[in-house]
Amino acid sequence: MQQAYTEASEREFVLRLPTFEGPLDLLLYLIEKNRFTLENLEVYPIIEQYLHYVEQAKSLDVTLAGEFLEMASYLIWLKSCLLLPSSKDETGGEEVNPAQELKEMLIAYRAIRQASQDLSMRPMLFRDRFPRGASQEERDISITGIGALLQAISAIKSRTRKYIMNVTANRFNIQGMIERIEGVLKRKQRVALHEVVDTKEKMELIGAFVAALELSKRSVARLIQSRLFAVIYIARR
Amino acid sequence: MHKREIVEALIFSGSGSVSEKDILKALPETSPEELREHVDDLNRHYEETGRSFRIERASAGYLFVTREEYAPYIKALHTPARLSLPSLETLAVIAYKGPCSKQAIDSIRGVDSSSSLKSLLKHQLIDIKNGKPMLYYTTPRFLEVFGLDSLSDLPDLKQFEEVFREEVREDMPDEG
Repeated sequence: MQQAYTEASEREFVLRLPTFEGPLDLLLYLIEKNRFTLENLEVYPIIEQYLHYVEQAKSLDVTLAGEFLEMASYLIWLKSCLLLPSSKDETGGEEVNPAQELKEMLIAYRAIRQASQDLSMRPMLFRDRFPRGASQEERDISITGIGALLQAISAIKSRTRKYIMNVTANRFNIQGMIERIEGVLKRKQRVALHEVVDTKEKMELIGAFVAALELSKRSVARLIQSRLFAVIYIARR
Repeated sequence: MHKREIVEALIFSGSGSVSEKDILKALPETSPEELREHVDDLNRHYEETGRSFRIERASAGYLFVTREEYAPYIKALHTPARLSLPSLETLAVIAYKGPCSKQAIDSIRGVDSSSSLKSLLKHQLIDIKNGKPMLYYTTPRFLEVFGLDSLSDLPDLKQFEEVFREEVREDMPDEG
């Protein structure tokens, strides 16, 4: 996380910035600072202080992680819910309490944080207890086993996916698709949209659809679909 | 030759943990309870004679470990392992909620856990169950590192939740 240095000593929040692991960590800090328990928690001042913190960070040109801003927009929404009269009728009688949702989220996070502190208090192997033959090499073993394999595969997948997206986008040519459909319509009275594409690739289908729309606009072809989600046909005019 | 000393030799022969199953295979006609008694007896003996180590039971196996008071000296020899706060948090989620997806972990922590997961995988404290989505779970090594026999030895998560519902904070947290 980024460090924030400032001379302004009254900006206590900002000095503490590097210690927040995330938005929930910041919210818990604010709750504890206000001496609230979760039972007597007043959500409104916490929201105000959270948003104030985010504003201050912005004005000091501190780049906050995206999660902080996501939480800010969630809190603004929550605030509007609290200010509006109960919308019980609109939701069909089922009462949703967004403030309660936030509380549950904080309870779950806080419990995990406590549990992780509890874990770190346990005498740890290689820190407090050492097994026989403990060596530097052993602890720096690189990832092995199925975990490593899956991680590598998912890394490759995410790379290739990006690659395919780019190539398809560049290679794909609406004009070419228009010409192809016109060619087909010279031979046949009508053709199903999915029949004019060679592959089942989404990008190509979208391209064919755009081409069909264009032909329809030019009054070269008519688009026919009997009902929602049925096969779309392109017919010669 | 006493059975107790054979147990000692068997556990000593492993550089890390020796599984209970393997020890019992080498010592037919021994029950797990009897094995446990021998280990307890050995530990008592080590304590009485002021040895610097003991035998620990972790993840259905036994291993020799040094006593905590010797850690400062051993640390000079080996760089101690360190887990960052985010990694510890991520590990706690997986220990209590696992096997669970990355999405579940992220939503509990409110932040992205990618780099913590990578580091925990590297330390072999967690592993991945193949599927969609991929599920993360703690390894036997995790139990070894934290001196747990099984995951059920962890304190109840409910206990931490209740504390927070009721407690009135007297002081501010100090998370340096």
